[in-house]
Amino acid sequence: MLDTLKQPKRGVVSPVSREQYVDAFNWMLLARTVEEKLASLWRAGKISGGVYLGKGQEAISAALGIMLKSGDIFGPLIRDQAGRLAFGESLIDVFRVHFGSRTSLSRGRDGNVHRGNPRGGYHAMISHLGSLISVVAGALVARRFQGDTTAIGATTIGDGGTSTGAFHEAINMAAVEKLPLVVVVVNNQYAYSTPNSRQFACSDLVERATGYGVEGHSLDGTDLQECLEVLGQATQRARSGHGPQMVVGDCLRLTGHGEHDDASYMDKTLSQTRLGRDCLKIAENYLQERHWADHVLLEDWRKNAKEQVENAVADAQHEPLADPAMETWCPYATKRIASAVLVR
Amino acid sequence: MPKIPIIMPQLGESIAEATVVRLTVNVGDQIANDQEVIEVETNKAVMSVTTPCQGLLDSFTAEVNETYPVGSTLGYIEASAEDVERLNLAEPPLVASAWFGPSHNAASADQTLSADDSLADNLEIPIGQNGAAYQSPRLRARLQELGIHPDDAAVVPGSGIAGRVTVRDFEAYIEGLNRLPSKKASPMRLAVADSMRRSWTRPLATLGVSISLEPILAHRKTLTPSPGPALYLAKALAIALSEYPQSAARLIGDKIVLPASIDIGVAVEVEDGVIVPVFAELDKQPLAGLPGQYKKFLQSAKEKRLPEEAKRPAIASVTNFGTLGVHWATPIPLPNETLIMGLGYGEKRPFWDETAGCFVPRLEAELTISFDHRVIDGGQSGRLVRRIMELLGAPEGL
Repeated sequence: MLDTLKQPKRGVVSPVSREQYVDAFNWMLLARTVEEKLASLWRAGKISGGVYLGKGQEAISAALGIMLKSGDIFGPLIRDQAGRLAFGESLIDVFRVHFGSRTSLSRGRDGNVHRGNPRGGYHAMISHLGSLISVVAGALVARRFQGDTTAIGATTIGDGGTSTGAFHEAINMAAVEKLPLVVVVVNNQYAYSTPNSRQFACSDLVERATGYGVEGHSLDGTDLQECLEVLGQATQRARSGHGPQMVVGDCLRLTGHGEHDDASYMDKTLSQTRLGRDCLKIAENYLQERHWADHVLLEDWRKNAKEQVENAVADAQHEPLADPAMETWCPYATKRIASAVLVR
Repeated sequence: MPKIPIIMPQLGESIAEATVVRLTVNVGDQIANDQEVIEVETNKAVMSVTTPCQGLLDSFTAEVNETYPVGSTLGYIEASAEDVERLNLAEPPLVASAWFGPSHNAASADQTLSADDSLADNLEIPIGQNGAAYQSPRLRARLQELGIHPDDAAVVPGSGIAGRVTVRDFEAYIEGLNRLPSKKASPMRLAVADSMRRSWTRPLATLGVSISLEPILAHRKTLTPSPGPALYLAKALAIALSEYPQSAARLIGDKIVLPASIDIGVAVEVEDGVIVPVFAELDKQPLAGLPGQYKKFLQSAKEKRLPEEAKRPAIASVTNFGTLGVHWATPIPLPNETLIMGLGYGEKRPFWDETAGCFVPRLEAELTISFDHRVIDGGQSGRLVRRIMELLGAPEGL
């Protein structure tokens, strides 16, 4: 029964190449390095507001990011640092927004996770979970009006976000409109502190795909290989006119909801299960097993990631902070603002 | 080598302070990049503080088991000059209070960004978001901080985009005010100001007529103690309103609320303000009894201690601005009143006597009515004034 629900699952899957795997791995590694630095800067009092990390979810995020092409639309969630980087976010923009620089994408008006560049098809995360799906779906409708038939859109949501009305409305609408939309549901077992058992009653979130009339896929979020295969297929099907794709990836959040949260409520036994594996470690092992990378090369990549991050942090700290006295505080989008900033 | 402070970080959006639990390194230790040096406890969790760069741990100023607010210096790290330059650590992090006043940050920002860059990409400002009418959330927060009413900031000319008042404009304005002599406003002044602000939320209109004071002057000679013109007016107003109570009605939501009794206030000037003692059920009180009562009110008003019976809310008031030598005024009814009547300065004026066929000198004054135009219209207020004129023309009936 479940198998048919999850169809089509890995029909004709093109094998993942070394190049693609290494590419995704390096985005994962860079994201992990960025986030470790963000946590450290936050604990040194250099970042105000919250810091939200995607530790344990880098494989899904990076795999999604590299499947998107220039011209596609991406609406990342708070744990999508890897996907953001793979989609083209520059490292310095990550730190600019966390420091509150005037040069940041939000001009320092909003911090941390709410950053995007709509003109580049890169939408800012919305904390009201589920809303981002409508935004990406709407952007795809706009593209359709413009005659763009090649772009797809992708967005990520958590297990908790699937319980919102906005999620339901958006997927339903996208299904009706047969939009080339990939919705990645990352089931990291906890919606902040609420476990799956208090979040939904179905046995697997992918079952919902049938109800919405969209194609459903499942993947093991700790396994980069599988993430690449399944997301490769899902994005391909969206691109080739098969309508919305719902991809449910299982993993465990290997961090608190934010850095302020010690996650003391989490079930400790989960980390001993397959779900609790660190996707970065698994990928490292896989690279070595396949002889795609050795110890020396891995160390080299780590050093390189660290160096890039340290340089971006140093550069961003030389940039001016936002100055409320100089701000215009215009919260409304007029037609001109929309045409200048929002529409590609 | 430069010393860089180790700061108590904001360990959560609602966290204002944290307690130092443990120092995890020793003074003199070489500290690596991102190394944890102090363990602190918030009301949510135990977390570690890191240093802003690598270096030699110079000193701890924080003590174990002590609680420190976010932003406090917990110690110092001795960093290399290169690291300080590379990470731009020489300048202390910008804190909220530094946003106002001469900001070094704005100056350095202007070197890298032109003024235009800061102006929302020079995008258009929506209608209604221009000039002094618009107050940014930041400005509103600042006004609140200073306990200043938003209207008070509306007098400041704005230099921001679309003539908006920036926080900096406002700070300059306040700085200018600080150079002028000032004193604390009395509670009475603040109460009057608040009352007038609330009144001014309504569309108020005023109309006036000339009346003869001769009948009143002749009549008051017959009474001892003799009532002043304001008391005649108050009594006439009370009678007129007992006949037309809807003139003193209030509009609350979709309801016209009628008065339960005809209670009329008489404005009395006191030091630094105005007090309005109230004559309860004035329509039922004989005129002859009013002067004694008024004298008591006047005395207690001067002492700012009105008797309880004079403190009830009035349905309308009378003000005798004529005592100031003023002919005409547009007084403002109190927030809970729909109208206020004013009496101007009495003076001899030529009056055309139809029967005698010549001008005769007559003591006249202006009678004004200022009213909430939502509740009563010109016609209704005009009829009320004509009725009062009629009553004042035959004071023996009061």
